Amino acid sequence: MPEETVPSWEDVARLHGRTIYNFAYRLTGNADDAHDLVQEVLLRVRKGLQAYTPGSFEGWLWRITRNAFLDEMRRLKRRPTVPLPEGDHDDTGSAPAPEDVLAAVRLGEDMQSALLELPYDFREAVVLCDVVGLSYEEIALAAGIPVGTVRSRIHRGRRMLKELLE
Amino acid sequence: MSHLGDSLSAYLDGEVDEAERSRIAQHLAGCEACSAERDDVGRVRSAVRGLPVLELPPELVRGMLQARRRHRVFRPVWAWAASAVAVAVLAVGLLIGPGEADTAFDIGSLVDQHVARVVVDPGVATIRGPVSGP
Repeated sequence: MPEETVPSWEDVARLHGRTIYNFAYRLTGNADDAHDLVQEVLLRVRKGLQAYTPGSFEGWLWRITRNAFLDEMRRLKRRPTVPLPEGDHDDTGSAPAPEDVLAAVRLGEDMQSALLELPYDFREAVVLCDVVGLSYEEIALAAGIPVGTVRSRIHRGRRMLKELLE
Repeated sequence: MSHLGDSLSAYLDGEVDEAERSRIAQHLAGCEACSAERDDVGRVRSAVRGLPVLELPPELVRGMLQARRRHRVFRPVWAWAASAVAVAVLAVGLLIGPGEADTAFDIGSLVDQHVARVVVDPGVATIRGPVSGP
């Protein structure tokens, strides 16, 4: 089995910064909070990397991210706000038809609003799975819950979203 | 057989083993309710996964990297400053060292004064212990 190499802080910022930003944005619907969270996570990663022992890097990173997020939300003591869709943009570089763009923006807005309606535990599970792309096991590690609970939260979260979008 | 429930999402996410996958597929083939739920959940799953990917504000990491470089450059300066202070303190200590002669002189004066007091008032020696024998 190949030995895991510990990435540098710059690697983490380069490879995971955008994903952490998207995670934070989808959970809060707020670009400023997402910005602050990425900074906080990267600062914690910078300090934590010195003591990191090779294992599940994804699990370690997302545990830090999740804890930073929860701490930040406690600090701000405010509920997530409505999304700022004007900050959204696709990074594919293609030029879709205007009506497709509008439909996508509308769907994105509706989905973002629905996400913010979900209780935190369900929102987090869905975002970690579908936005971040973690496996159930990695989510379980990050959130400190059994895999069975992850499975249940993701499914119930998706069902709630479906009802909210109807 | 009971409906699939939570297993449906795990099935869509490829988070089931081969035996469970086959059992679920078999169930879906004969259960309209579970098939409909799979479709509903599948649409939501695709929609969340299709949300636009937001770019990280470029100034965010750039600012942190610049702050880190500044930290790297300035840290040795502070280290040098701390070392300079330590050397200065040592140098001052060495310069002050010869002052011990003055201290010795002061102690000598005090001894003289004490002896003079003992001579004037022998009770002082008696009170202070066995300096002089009986």
